[in-house]
Amino acid sequence: MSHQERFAWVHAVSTLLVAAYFANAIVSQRSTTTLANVDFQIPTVIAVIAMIILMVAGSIGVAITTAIQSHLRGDDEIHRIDRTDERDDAIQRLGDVTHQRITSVALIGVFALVAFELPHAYVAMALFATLTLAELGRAGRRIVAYRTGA
Amino acid sequence: MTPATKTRVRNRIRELRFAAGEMTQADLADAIGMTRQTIIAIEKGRYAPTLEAAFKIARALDQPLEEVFQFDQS
Repeated sequence: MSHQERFAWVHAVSTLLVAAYFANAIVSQRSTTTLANVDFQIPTVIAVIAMIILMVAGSIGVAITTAIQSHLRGDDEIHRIDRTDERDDAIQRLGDVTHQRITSVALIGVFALVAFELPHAYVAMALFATLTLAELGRAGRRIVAYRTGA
Repeated sequence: MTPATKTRVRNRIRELRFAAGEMTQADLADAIGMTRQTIIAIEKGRYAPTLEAAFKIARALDQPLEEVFQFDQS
């Protein structure tokens, strides 16, 4: 598995973990308030910070794992960890296009919520769901491309 | 998982690597500045390299381009 593919997995897992946290933070408030009045600001800020931390920690974890594997095999693979080439660029573009398509379609729904002046919490949740789906789509498309061909 | 996507560009890289002094995939990757995973993908026909990369591979194997890559017209 290439390093770039590992980073795509880190991206996918981080997104899933953050989405699970956000969903839990929203659902856990349902017993005390309505969905329209849930506190979404703090969970959103925590989710963004958590995403950054998970991505950085995951990338460091990938580098450490590669270094250990490289040492055990006795090769110099660790010196190539930063190397990317045209295939990585092509796969990156495929992921970006997927992200763009999902965002473009899903944002129509978000605009509809705004147009009908629905509660801010609904808009925030729809926006969060849009970005989560788009990020999962990007990471998933990249993983599929690495596994099956670009 | 979806089945692997095959390109219509066939190649003899694996065969020519061995003919060129048992050159490894990592050696070839280093020679042309690509990753070993990309060389693997090209050899398996899962990725069609750009023209520039194809020329680099042919040059590294000391072969003309058409000896390394063929286009499947069927």
